[in-house]
Amino acid sequence: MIIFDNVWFKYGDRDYVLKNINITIKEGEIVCILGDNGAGKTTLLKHINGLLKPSKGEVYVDKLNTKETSVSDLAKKVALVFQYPERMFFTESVWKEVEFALANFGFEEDIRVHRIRKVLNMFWLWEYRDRSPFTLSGGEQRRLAIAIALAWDPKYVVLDEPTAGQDGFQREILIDIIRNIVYREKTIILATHDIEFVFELPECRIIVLNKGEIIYDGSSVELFNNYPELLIEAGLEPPSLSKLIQTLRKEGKYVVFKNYDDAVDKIYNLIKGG
Amino acid sequence: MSVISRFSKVFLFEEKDALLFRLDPRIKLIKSIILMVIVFFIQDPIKIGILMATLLVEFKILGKVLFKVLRSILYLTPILILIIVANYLATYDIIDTLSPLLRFLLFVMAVDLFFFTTSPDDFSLTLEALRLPMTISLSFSLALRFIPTLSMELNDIIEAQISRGLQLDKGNILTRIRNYIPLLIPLIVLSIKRSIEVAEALEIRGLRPGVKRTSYKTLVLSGVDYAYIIISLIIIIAIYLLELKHLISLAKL
Ligand SMILES: Nc1ncnc2c1ncn2[C@@H]1O[C@H](COP(=O)(O)OP(=O)(O)OP(=O)(O)O)[C@@H](O)[C@H]1O
Ligand SMILES: [Mg+2]
Repeated sequence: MIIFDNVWFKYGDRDYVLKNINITIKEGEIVCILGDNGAGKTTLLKHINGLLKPSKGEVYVDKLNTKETSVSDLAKKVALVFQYPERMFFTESVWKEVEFALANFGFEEDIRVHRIRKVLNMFWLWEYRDRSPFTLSGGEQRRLAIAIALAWDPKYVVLDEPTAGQDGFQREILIDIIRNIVYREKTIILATHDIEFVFELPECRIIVLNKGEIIYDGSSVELFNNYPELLIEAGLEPPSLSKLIQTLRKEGKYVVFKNYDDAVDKIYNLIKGG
Repeated sequence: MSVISRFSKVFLFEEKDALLFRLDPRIKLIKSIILMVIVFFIQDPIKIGILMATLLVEFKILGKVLFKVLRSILYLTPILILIIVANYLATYDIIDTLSPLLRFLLFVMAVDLFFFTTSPDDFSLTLEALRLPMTISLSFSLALRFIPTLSMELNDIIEAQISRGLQLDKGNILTRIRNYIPLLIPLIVLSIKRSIEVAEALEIRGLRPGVKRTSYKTLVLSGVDYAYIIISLIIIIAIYLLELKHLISLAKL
C-alpha cells in the first residue's frame, strides 16, 4: 500500500508544486495520473521511490516512511521508469542493460540469468539480447526500459509518460504490457497527458492533477462520461468520444461508453434501433 | 544530492534583481580585468584586504551574490591550502604567505564579478563587442548556454540510475570511479545528439561563417555604467596609492 498523507512539496524556495496531496493506493490497482505540462506529475512520482521527500506531510510505501528509508531500499520495491528511459542506456548489449540493475540490487548470478531470460521473453526482446540497446527502434527501447524495471521483481511499477514519442501501434503494445504487468499482481502508477491512451484503459483509477492539486480521484468511466469539464479545467482535451456522449445526451439519448469498442457497439445499436 | 550536481550549481547563471546584473557587461569586464592586473602590482596584504572588503560589500549589496562567491571560494580550498603550505615552506614568513593567498582570492573574486552577474546573452554580446571571430564567440556562448541544460540532464540521469539501484557513494575508490560510467555515457551521448541538433538548427536559420551579422539586442552605456566604473576606479586607485605607514603614524599623533 502506498499512502500520500497531506503531502506538500516545493523546489527550494519557490511556490508549492504539490498541494495537500492525499492518496491511498492498494495492491493490484492501476492508477493513472492525468495532468497538463507542469501540473506536478513527475514530481509526485519521484516521491514514491524517495528521490524527493515531502516538504510537509509523509509518504509511506508498505508502512515505510520515505523520509526514513534510503532510495536504494525503496527502489527495490518501487521501479520508477522515467520519461524517455532509453536515454539512460549505457551498456553494449541488451542483456547487460538488464543485468546492470540486477547486479546493483545484489542478485546472485543464477537468479540474474533466470530473470533476464524471463523478462526478455515476456517483452519479445529475446532475439535482441546481444544487440546494442542504441540500435533498437524507439518502441523496442521503451519495451526494454520497462522490461528492466520488472527484472528485479518490484511490487510497484511507476511509469512516467510511457507513451511519449510512441506511435499508435506501440501504444497498443504498451496497453497489452500494462495489463500483463497487472495480471502479474503488481501495482501500476502511471502519469500521462495522453487522454486517448487512458481511455483505452477503463480499469484505470484516475487522478487528475491541476497545478499541483487533485481535482478528481475516481473511475475512468465516470470521469469521461460525466465530468469531461474537469479535464478541460486541468488544461486537457477530453477524448473525442466524451464530446459525442455530451451531444447524444443533449439529444435525449442517455449513453455510457466504457471504451472505444463499447462505444462502437452502442452507436451501432443506436443507428440500428433508429 | 551528489557532488557533481552540487558543483555544477555554482556555475549555473541565476538572474537576480540587482544593480550588478543590469550593468553593461563590458563595464564589468573592464573592472574585472583591472582587478586581475592590479593583483600583480599590489603586494601589501592590508591593501589587498581592503580591496577585497570593498568587493565583498559590492557582491552583497549591489549583486546579492555574496553566498555564491563564498561558495566558489570554498570549492578552491585544496588550492588555497597548497598556496599557504608552499609559500610558508619557502619563506617562513606569515606576511609573505598571506600576500599571495589574498592576491589569489582577489583574482578569483574578479573572475566571479563578471561571470556570476553576466547572463549568457550578455556574455555573447560582450564577445561580439570584443570583435572576436564569430566562430569563437558563438562556440563560447553556446557552450555557456548549455551548462544549465547539461546540469539538468545530469540530474535526470543521476535520478534514473539511482532508481535502477546505482549507489554512487558505495565501495572503494575504484568502484566509485566506475560508478560514474552509467552517468557519463548517457551524458556524452546526449551532448553529441544535442550538438548535432544545434548545428542543424543554426544552418537552417541561415548562419554562414564569415558573413557579417547584425544584433537584435545591442549594448548601450548608461549613466549608471559610467558612475559605477568611475567610482570603482577611484576606490581602486585610492587603495593603490594609500600610504599606510603615513596613516599609521598619523593615527599615533
Ligand atoms: N528540478 C526542478 N527544480 C525546480 N523546479 C522544478 C524542477 N522540476 C520541476 N519543477 C517545476 O515544478 C512544476 C511541476 O513539474 P513536473 O515536472 O512535476 O510537471 P509534470 O506534470 O511532470 O509536467 P510534464 O508533463 O511537462 O512532464 C513545474 O512548474 C516545473 O517547472
Ligand atoms: Mg513530467
